[in-house]
Amino acid sequence: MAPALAPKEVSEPFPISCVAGRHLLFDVDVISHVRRNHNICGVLVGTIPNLSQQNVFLGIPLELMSEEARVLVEGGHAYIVDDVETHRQGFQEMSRADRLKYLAEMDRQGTEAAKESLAAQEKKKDIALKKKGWRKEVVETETAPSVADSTATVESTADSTASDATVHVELPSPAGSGLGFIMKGSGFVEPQSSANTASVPSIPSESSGTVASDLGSSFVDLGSIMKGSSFLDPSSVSAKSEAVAAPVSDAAPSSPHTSDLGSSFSDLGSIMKGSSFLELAPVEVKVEKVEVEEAMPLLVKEEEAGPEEVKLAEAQLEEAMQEEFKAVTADDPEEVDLREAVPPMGGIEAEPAEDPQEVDPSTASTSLFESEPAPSAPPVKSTLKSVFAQRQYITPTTSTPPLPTPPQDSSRPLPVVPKSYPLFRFLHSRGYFFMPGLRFGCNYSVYPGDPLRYHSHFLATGLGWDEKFDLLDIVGGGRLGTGTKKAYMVGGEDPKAPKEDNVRAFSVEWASM
Amino acid sequence: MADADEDVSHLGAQEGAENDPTEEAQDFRFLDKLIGGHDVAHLSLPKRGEKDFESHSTNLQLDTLEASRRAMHGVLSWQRTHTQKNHILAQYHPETNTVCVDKVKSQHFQTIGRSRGGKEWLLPEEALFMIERGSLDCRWPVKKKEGDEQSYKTEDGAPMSLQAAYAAFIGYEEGVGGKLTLEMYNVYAGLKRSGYVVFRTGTWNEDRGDLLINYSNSQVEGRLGSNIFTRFFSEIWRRISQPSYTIAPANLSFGPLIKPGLYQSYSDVFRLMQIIPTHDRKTPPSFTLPPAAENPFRVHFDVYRTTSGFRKTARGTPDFRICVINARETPIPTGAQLNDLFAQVPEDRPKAGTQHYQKLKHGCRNVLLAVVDNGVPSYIRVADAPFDEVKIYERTWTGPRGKGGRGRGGGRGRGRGRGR
Repeated sequence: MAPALAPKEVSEPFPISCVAGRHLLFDVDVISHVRRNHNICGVLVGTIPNLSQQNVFLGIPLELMSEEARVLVEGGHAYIVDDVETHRQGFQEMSRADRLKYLAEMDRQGTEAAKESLAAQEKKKDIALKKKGWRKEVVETETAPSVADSTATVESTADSTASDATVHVELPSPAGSGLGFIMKGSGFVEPQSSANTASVPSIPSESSGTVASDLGSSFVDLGSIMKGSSFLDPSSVSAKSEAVAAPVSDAAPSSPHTSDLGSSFSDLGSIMKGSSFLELAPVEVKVEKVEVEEAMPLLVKEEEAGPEEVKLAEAQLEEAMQEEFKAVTADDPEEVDLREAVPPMGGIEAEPAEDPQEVDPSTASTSLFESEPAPSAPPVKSTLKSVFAQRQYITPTTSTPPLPTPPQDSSRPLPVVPKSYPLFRFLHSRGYFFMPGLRFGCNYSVYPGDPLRYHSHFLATGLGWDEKFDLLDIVGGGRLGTGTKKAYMVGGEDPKAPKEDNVRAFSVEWASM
Repeated sequence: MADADEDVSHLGAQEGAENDPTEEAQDFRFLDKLIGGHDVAHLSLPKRGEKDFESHSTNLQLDTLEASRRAMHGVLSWQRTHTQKNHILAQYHPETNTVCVDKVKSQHFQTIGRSRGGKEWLLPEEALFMIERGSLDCRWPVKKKEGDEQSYKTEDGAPMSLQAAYAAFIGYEEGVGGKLTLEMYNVYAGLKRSGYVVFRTGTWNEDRGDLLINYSNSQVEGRLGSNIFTRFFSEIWRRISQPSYTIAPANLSFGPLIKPGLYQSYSDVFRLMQIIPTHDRKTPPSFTLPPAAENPFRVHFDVYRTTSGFRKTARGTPDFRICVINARETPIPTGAQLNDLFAQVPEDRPKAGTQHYQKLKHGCRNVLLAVVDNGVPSYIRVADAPFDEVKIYERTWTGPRGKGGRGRGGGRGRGRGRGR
């Protein structure tokens, strides 16, 4: 996923989850926030998904020491929330409308995730093939272009045809994506239009560009159907009736922040859920209707300008594709080969979640009408199936999107802290960072800056002001501290001194004489 | 475990302390760099990066720190997704704080879960770990209104977020009479991440663990397994070689410990000097404290090394037994608490013929204490060292003795005469 995103701003005070007396943070932005602004590190105790076989890097949740929670609460930066009660009320008593809304949102995210992972896969494949294919193309320029190209085609038919296309059209051309769609799209294309493709070799490259835009757009059309159909869970839909549709479609306008795509999407979803009684074909019609509603202003314009639009795409394609695509299509046997490879590939390499933004939206909507009667039941069925194979499920990290941010409870007592707290508070106010000191046999290991960057300086132990302790502790702590390039530190709070200046700390170093 | 590196023995070699990967916070930049996308199958983990001793306010330093923080942020924002193929659906049961899995389809279930009523059930720690590692899609049960006769499937329930999972499996636990704490879960998850197979010891239903009186000692089995003649002769030998009388306490105040006589070996002399009573390990162990829920010293987890033919229904004897304690709340165990803790583990004597020091170190019963300080675990091995059984005067200088594999006590029969 996108690495190194800047954390979002966090508004204070933020909630700290209290579970069975422990203080946890689940929101990654809050975790970054406390680290940057309040020099609080806590300890990451969770497992990182997909990296669950190691103990070196750990993930969310972040467990705060009770001292850290106390410092944050006392400073007014945070408040403690009883997560158990919040969740008992929030989820076990969740209303039907809320639940359905939440499920729809999860579905949306799941489809997006699928989209993302497919795009990443595609990219990776592209790079790998580029590496392989690049050398071929270098060779090819030295020898006869057509022959070399055809060999490349033969080789890469073993791989996906989609990336095959991109190998050849890797120049910075707008037609690149269009050509990619031919290949991807043609997997779903019904017999009639594949017959069209068959005619490609005989037609000069100009008209092949037309076919390309045609197919590409019909693919988009299919893509939109699929997007919608990922909602269509044959088992669960039957359980829901039209009554279900109402809350969901209510929910869609109530979330204005969702993008156009998203809202059209939830519209689709609502219809899908509502229309459980529909057969496959009618469902498809419905989908298109929604698309029409959505893109209506565009559509009217585009419909009129339909042929021109196609021409425009044609012209775009023409320029960049002429060389490459001609080379691909020039060789008849190779082309047949390619076509034969398409249908089975289509099933595996189905690209339903391909980013629609990539395609000119106008072409997409034009084709809605052009290809409306075209898809017959059987191919749609297969594409539906392939979409089900792609859609992902999400386990969110936090509960706050479905649940509201819990309210502040001022009657809640402050976190209980050990007697070493005064020393902690003192050093924290001086800008030090802390980690639990268990590994070094002390209360805290104290860092001069973020532990990500700095080694710790002190092994601190907090004591009572008049508390007696063993001299051996000094020796042991001093030796261990010195051996690890740190200093042992003891400190405590003078109960009689004024509040600002009541903590004293001593650092001990082993003289090793 | 990792604590070996933090041993004081590194005092001289300071490099060791600095290179310990678990010592301090990790630099997430290196993780991020290696992973890039999501394909992490073939990767090994990076070494920690160079760190600075203190701030010198250079832009370079600040930039590096910022890069580290961003990398960390990036890794922490990874989402838990389930592809259609790997999707394991489960439903949460608030009454028992357990999870019922719809359809079992993964390797994980070889080492977790138990089948009940034809369905696979997961304990809270198992479910939480599976959710956390992104392998389980757990759903809340659907709340039914009055008169709602509809039957809901698992997938109709709201997905359980990670936060909700912690709130439920750790937070609800006390409400349903469970005993799982966050510390125990930390230890469980840490061991699972390291590749161990971890199960609860017993059921955790009682206030303390079960008393273990059976000897699962291979040595004992080995001895019983030998043929009847060997056993007969070794029994005779044992009777001859061992002192047939002990000194009455009343005599101790008067007479000499060793009366004049003919002694053929020092062993006989030393044996007569053995007057300090020791803990008798032959009698079956018993509890000294009454059962109490607040006694933290009980065996919590059975830990197994990963082996190929492992079956959860026939687990065999665990390789380690772990008791989890909270470093911030629990003081050092008392003698009585230790005794009760050891009563819950079977006898595990060292192999015959090992060095004396090894024997003492290994002990005849042992348990691992997992001390958790705010999420950071440290493992301490506590063993019952049998000083009275390891006798220095029986020390052998030339390896194991060739006395027909009688194992321990093999040195006893040297002197035939006994002091009178």
